[in-house]
Amino acid sequence: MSGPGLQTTAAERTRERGAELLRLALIFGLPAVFIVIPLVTFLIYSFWRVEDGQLVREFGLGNYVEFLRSDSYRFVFGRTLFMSLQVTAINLVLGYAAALFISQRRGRTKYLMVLALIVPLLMSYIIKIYAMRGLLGTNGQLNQLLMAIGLLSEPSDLFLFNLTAVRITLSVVLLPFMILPIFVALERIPASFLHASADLGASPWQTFRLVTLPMSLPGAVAGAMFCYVLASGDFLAPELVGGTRGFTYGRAVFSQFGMAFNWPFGAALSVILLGVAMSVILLAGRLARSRWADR
Amino acid sequence: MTAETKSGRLVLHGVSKHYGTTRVLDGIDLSVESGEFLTILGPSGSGKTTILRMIGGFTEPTSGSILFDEVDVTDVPIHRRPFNTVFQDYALFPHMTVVQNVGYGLRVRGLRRREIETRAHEVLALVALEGLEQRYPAQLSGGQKQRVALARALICEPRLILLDEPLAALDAELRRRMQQFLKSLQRRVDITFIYVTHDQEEAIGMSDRICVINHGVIEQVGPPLEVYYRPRSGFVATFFGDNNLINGRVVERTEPGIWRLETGLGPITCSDDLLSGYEEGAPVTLAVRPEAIGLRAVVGAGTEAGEADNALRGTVNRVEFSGPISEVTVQVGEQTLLAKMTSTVSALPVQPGDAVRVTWNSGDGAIIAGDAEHHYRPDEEST
Repeated sequence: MSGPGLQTTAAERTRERGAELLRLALIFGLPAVFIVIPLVTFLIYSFWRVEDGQLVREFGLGNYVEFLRSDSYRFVFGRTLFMSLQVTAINLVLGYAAALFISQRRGRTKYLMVLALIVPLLMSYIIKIYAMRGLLGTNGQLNQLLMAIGLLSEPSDLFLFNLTAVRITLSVVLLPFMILPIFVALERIPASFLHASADLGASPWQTFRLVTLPMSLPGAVAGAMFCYVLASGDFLAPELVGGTRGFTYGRAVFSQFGMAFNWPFGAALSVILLGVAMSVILLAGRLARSRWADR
Repeated sequence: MTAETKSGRLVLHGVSKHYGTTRVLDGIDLSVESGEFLTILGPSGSGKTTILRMIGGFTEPTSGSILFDEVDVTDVPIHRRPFNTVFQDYALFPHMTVVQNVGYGLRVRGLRRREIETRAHEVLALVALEGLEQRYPAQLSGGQKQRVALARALICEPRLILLDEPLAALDAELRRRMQQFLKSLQRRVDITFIYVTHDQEEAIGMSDRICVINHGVIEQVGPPLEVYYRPRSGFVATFFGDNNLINGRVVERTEPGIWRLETGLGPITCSDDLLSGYEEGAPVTLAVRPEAIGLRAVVGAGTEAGEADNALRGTVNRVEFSGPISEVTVQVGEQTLLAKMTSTVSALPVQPGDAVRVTWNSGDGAIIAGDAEHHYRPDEEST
């Protein structure tokens, strides 16, 4: 009879299912452990409080209430989000122009330019910021250039240790994050669409406005999202080039951990920023998901 | 430009395209008459699409000029040419609905939205696509996309429409229906069509004239019947189905209207209208279609000529039965000739090894100058 054979198969099947579950646990479990658990820990921390340097593990919304009551925290929060918006707007214009320029080059030139964009991404973040600090300082190249072309008669200290310095630094450092997704989106537009547009009588500008721009919009949305999220949470650039006048939300969070040793409050501030970042990502996802692409 | 001259005459004058040392097109001279349906036909890599792209303005010719109604348009940018293209992949804008795609050409001309929609509906009715106005291209079938692409070109009222293998992506049944549709549409709208394809049947079925191109050179331009029955090169003779090429030379006129050729298979007669313009002694190739050839059994040692003008003795090599048509190859002297017989019960049931007489009329076939060879083999096309 086939009885024993069937039993073996059933046992094998159980074993296979076990192996499959283990595989799934590893694939989804590891990221969950390393990403979700720290985030959840932070979330839990944000409901606790510190009293006399001692952590009090009691649930409460005190930290959030404190954030909402404090004018200075809300001001820094609003100012940081607005500054991130400015950085994103500047990079959207510069990044789109650069991506368009690169995508219109041919063959080797194009890929050398893309490579030149990627190399800074591999460099240390701190080195890049120090380089910017040198560039923007009183004796920096920016001042020298402006004096050389006669726009300034003496070096200006407007470019360092204030919010403008933070804006410029973040714009420069985050520019590749804007250019790359737009470049990819532009590259994915088949030439036949541009030919068809011109064939139907559209001028180059009309083709850009009606075909290129709408079809590359998902890339621009992705780039803007990267820029905004990275700029709003950054604390190193403001720390190094912002001085006292360039205080941002990221620095506020940092100081709760590094100086005030008020981890619960720092965690609450982080959770608030995380909420903003998640909202931006969700919004970007909705904007980038076109009505036509996946049908 | 007056309102009456709806379509115009297009002339290519010595147009060439070189990429480095590679010659894609070499000295193309072609004129397309107003209101004509002209097909540019050739195997892949022959340069046919390059011609279309140069007319459309997507590729610049290395030398030569393109005239439209006597005006040189060689350097006119794409968007200023009074031509529209139906692309092979249709190139419908994915982010626009059907009606937006169709109205695009009018939109960039600055027409009012209401007028654009009215005319888009008219053109969509012309291509039988009413009711699909608000769909996106991704929601359409291949045949529907094809008609949207056509409507998008038609709405601009161009004087010339360029079609780049527009039916290549459709299945056989749909392709046949679209062929008839395209042809009747072209008559109705009275616009010059230049149609590129590698499909011989498509070309024969739709065109007023066919321009056969191979290796960047025009082999022959003419109406379908002429290109099929009177090929002027070995390539053309063998590109449209099978053909028997018999090399020889003109000997003399034996009686009014009949010439004698000396060939490797012996003397062959050939009627006057095939040979006009050739002198005695000129090397020529006779191309005879397999379907023009008849086979007769040799009864005893008889040498009766029968009713046919040419009768050559041969031996059957192979018989391939494939439904309505049987292909029979016959060894005649050094050469193998192919005959296609209608598979009827009363037809000669030949078998390999049978002695037969291969016959055809002196008016059947075509004369090609020089010693032509079989230039085209279908299996070469994939390379």
